[in-house]
Amino acid sequence: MTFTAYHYQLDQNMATVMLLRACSRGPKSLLLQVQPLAKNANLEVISKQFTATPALATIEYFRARRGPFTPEEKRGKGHMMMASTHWKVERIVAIAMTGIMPACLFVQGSTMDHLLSTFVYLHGFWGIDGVLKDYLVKFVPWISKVWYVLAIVGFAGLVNFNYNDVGITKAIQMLWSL
Amino acid sequence: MALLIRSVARSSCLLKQTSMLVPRRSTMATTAYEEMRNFWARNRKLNRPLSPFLTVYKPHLAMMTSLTHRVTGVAMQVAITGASITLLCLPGDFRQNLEYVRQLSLGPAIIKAFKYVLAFPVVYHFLNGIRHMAWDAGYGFSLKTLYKSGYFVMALTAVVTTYFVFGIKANAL
Repeated sequence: MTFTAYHYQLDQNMATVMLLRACSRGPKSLLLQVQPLAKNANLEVISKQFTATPALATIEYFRARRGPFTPEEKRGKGHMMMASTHWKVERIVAIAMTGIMPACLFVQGSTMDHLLSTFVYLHGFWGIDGVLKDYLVKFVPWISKVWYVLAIVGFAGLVNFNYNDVGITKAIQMLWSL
Repeated sequence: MALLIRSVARSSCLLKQTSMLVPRRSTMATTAYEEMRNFWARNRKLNRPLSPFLTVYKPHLAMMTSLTHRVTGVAMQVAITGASITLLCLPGDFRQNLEYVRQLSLGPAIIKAFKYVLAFPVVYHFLNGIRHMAWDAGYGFSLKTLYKSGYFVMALTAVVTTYFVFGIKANAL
């Protein structure tokens, strides 16, 4: 069997397998039409092998880019510190929170307000940032920036609340007195 | 004659071994990135369907505690940011706004349920967070310990949350 003939048969086998899979997947497969790659397609350039029907062009747009990512892409640019250092800082904040949060049950006041809001907010900010990086950044690359803006406004709101209003610990106490 | 054949065989064998010792940089991927690129290229060529998704797994304790940890964390941070921005936008200070809520005169059941909704994520995330930090420090990975700590955290969360809702009577300030 020549090389080309072998590949031709392989393609036929794959087509059969794909057809069977499409049947087993049911009506969903009618929406996402699978088109095998062209013979001369450059695999380094093409990152999407599925072509959606026009109605599903939106889904196609938000499909994740599934690698490969260069080390530069993975690392990103303009970081303050190494990821491992950042991890350690995150743990230090989390460990501090295990002390601060129970302490707020007993002590309320301006210092506690600022301590609690800063630590909790920092922890949550990094948490959401990580969740976005895990699930959404590969679909919607600009989502982190939206979160940064919202987070800054939110933190400004908290600081304003602590300075010009009752403060977060007193506020929780008042809420609990309902 | 036999000796000649054997020596030829030996030498060719030796030749093979030396060829194995020669680094084959030119044909092999040199960097991790190139290897990954080859991996992805091969997998695209194979045209495989998506690998088994979440729905094929039977839920188990470790999975559910981890998922709840993440969901409560995200919910709390979204709530904090949302509440903060809302308070920034609302006219009047917190005392006035709380007075409006008080004037709604909600039933005690609704208020208790509301307190449960507020207290549960905080308590659960706090306690399970300690569990996570123990893992980060390298403790509690054995399956038996994992299940024990998981059930312990669930039970303690129920107890502490109930205490917060029914046990603490904060004074109105």
